[in-house]
Amino acid sequence: MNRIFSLRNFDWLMFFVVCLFLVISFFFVWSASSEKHAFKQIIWIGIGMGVFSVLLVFDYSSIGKASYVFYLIILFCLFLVLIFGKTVYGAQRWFILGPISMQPSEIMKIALVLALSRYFMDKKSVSGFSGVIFPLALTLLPMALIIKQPDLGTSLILLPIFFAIMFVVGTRVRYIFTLMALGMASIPLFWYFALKGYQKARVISFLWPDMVSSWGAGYQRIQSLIAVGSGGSFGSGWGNGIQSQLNFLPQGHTDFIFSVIAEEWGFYRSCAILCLYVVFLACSIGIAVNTRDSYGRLIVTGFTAMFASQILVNVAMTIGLAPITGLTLPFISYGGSSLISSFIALSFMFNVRMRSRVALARDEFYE
Amino acid sequence: MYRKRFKIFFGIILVLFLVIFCKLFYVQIIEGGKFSGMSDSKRIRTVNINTLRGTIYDRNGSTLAVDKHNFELTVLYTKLFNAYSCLKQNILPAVSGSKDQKIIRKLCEECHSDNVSWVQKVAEFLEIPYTDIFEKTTKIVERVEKIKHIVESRNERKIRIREEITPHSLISNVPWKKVAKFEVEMQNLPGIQIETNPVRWYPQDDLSSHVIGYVGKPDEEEIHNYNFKKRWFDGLEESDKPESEYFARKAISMDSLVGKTGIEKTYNSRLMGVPGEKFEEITLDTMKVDKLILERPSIPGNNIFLTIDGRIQSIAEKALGNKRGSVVVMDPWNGEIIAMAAFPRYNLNTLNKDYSALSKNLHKPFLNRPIQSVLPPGSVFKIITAIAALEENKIDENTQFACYGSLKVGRSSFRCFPKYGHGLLNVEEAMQYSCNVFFIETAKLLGGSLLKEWADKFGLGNFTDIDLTYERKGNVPTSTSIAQTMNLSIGQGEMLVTPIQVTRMIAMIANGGWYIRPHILQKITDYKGNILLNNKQKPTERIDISEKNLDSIKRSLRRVVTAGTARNTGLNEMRVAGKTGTTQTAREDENHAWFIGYAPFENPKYCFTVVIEHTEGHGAEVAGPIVQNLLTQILESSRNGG
Repeated sequence: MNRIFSLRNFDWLMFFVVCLFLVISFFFVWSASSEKHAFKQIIWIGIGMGVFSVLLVFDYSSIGKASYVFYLIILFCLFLVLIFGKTVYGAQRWFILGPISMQPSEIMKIALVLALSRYFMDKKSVSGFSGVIFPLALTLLPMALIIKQPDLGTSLILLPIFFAIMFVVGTRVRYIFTLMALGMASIPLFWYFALKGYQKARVISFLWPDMVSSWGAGYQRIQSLIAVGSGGSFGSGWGNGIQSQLNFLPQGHTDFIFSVIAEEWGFYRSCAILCLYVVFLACSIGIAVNTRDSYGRLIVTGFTAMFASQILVNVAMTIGLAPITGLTLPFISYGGSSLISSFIALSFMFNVRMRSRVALARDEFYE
Repeated sequence: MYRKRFKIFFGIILVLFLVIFCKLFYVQIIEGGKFSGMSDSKRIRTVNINTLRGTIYDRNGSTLAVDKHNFELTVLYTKLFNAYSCLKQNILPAVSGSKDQKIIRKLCEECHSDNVSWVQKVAEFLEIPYTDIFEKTTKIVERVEKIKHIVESRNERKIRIREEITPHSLISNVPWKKVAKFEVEMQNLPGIQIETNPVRWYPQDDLSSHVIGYVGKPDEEEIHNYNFKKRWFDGLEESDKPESEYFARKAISMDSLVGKTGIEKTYNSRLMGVPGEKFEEITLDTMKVDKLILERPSIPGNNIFLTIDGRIQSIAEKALGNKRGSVVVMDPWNGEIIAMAAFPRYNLNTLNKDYSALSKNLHKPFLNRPIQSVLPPGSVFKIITAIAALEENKIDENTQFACYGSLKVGRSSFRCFPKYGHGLLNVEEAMQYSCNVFFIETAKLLGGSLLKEWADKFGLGNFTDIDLTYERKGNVPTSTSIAQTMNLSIGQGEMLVTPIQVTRMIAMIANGGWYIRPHILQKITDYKGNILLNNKQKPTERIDISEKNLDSIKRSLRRVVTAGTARNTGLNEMRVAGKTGTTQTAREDENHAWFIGYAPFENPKYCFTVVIEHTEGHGAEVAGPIVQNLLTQILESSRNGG
């Protein structure tokens, strides 16, 4: 396939939305923590933009050829991080390479999308239940390693990616439901063998909030709810949130940044941000639908599922709809690892859009 | 088919977003006021829950410093204010029996009885004059009104300040019996409570007060430097995570107590707990707590176990008596300080009262002499001179010098203790009689730089890095002239060392040349008693010194006690080896008397340093009896104690 890199096909709307997120990010990281963090965030945004533009230059399909290799490398990294990783908040998620600390589990999301897409690229459809086994293994292996770290949130994000790609590739809905049922059935096993005490506490505090009201899992949840609730319609104004400014809200600048936004900007403006996310996701689905190359379409689907689930779980957690999982809000939460992985994903989506429009060959999409 | 599936995919996402919108609407708009707490009648109040500072134990587990509950009677501000305004209008309860007051009280009974009656009840209950309560009330109210005035004039509007909705401490040190009764009798007095506040208590008064150290309110710098992260987030990277800053801010405030000296300071971040918080919704008018929104319990600080043995410490302090100086007893094999006594001391329990008197005392009772008193070591330093000369092969065991009672070198002359000298002697004999002339002759051969090198090897004039605060370094100067070298070789001149340095030096000789680090921390446990840190130290590095020379030095140190300068002290039977020292001070009749050593000499269990500052008489005369007293009792107590 001979495809041409063309700036005309650059998705300006989507890029504009992302830029809005970044601006919001800067101000609310500032508000929730400090000026220092906000400027650090700018540096990360700069690095992210750099990665984004560099990746645009390469054809995604040439990167995609190395999907499995990439996947294996990251899988290996996950192993290593379990052995040598640095412990933060009681979890081993970080690699410290000189001044840079890296979270391989963030990169794993991208690797999984690429690997799954690579696998389904040549397949017209999933024939029979046996076709599900290999991609399922691809998903469950890193999941197990990430849960071991332990990072429940990131590992669960791999599931929507898997299901979305399976769904779009045309797997029978019957299979998907069977898998979900199996998954549900394995929850008790999971509960007794894989979850750490604090993770259980978080789930319990979500299911029965009155039971655990002391310091710990319930604390974050309640503080976040108080923050969101006290925002009301119009919020207390930027930099004036009682909960976040007085630091009642732990991790206000990372996982719980949406609580800060909701408290300080109120219902209408936080809704507007959610709408922006919907626009963002609509744009990315648009790219997927309009792409004629199946590989490109699948990676865009995978990344859309990744973004969507991250946004939904993060926001749901701040308003008490989901247990506290430690997922970040894409493009807004403070943190280099999540920002850069978001930018890499974004870059792939743009890459697909910019290259596929001019592809001459009609592929199986329109058959 | 694929397009359809994409539509479904996007549909699912939209539905989920819709759920989020609904919930957000519910939380922010419908339930919005529930948590806001900013309405006029209701407010969320934060109440701090006090935590306890960790306990300090000695090695046997007996308590040296502990937080004790102090009961405080607290009253809500509105009550105080009402009583205050009544007082201003001279409406007082008729306790004194004055007729006028009775009339006034009768007149206003209906409107005011409630405002003042609590004062009467409290006064009767605690059996204190009610005027006391009024005095304190006035003080509190006037202070708060002043703050309120300032705040309001700055903001140019009426403001309810924090002090108005919190209870104020009126009477502290409510006796325990009253507290128990209070719960029963004071039920009908809303707004008046008994609260517990921890105060530091030292069961053994002035025992090892310098080692324990005292606590006080933190200053700006201490608040800033308080390394909370290290303590509570051991797993957390040393980052700038805001939540740990938050806890740090919570954990330390102007009201909390931090260690100012000694162990209390060194392990302050370990000892300090994290206070808890309570968020309560209250109605402003009645000050009634409507509901408890959230409670984060406090976490008590860690407990510290010291290597100090309380029994031996008290023996050492008694043996030292009223003489200005210090006694250090240390395990020579691992550097555990077993006793560390200093005189003058201070009583930790009454420190606040005594402070001004103590700080004026010319003998500086706040000085932790074992680590802060820098003194010339005198003849004690001859051990180093001997080792240096033997090791550098400047002399050997049989090298002899003649002593005629004095030695003239250039313009300066050195005197030896006996008027007509010791005659011919070798190094062991010279040590035994502490012959100045021999060591001065040796120093001539040795030279200044080698002498300093060996003093450095044994850690003289250098921090021992003991885990106590404000250790002083002392000084071993680099010799510039032969005269100075000679002066240094017998421990005089500008050489200054601390008793702990000398203790380490003798310990290194006792244990065969192994480097040890004197320390006081034995272990740290959390408040439940789980061991967090066990400070077992083993020496790993050894000075390069030959066994033969070391044996020769050890033999000579034993001869000091059996037949030498310390022969009449009764230490011979106790199998002590040691060295005495007498340092002249600027004043003619004042010396520093040293006695360092270890026992039993075959297999040392304790090494010790006794130094009496500014005393008349010589090392063995003054320090000898103290050592004798100390060791007799230690042996006795170890026999009794099993």
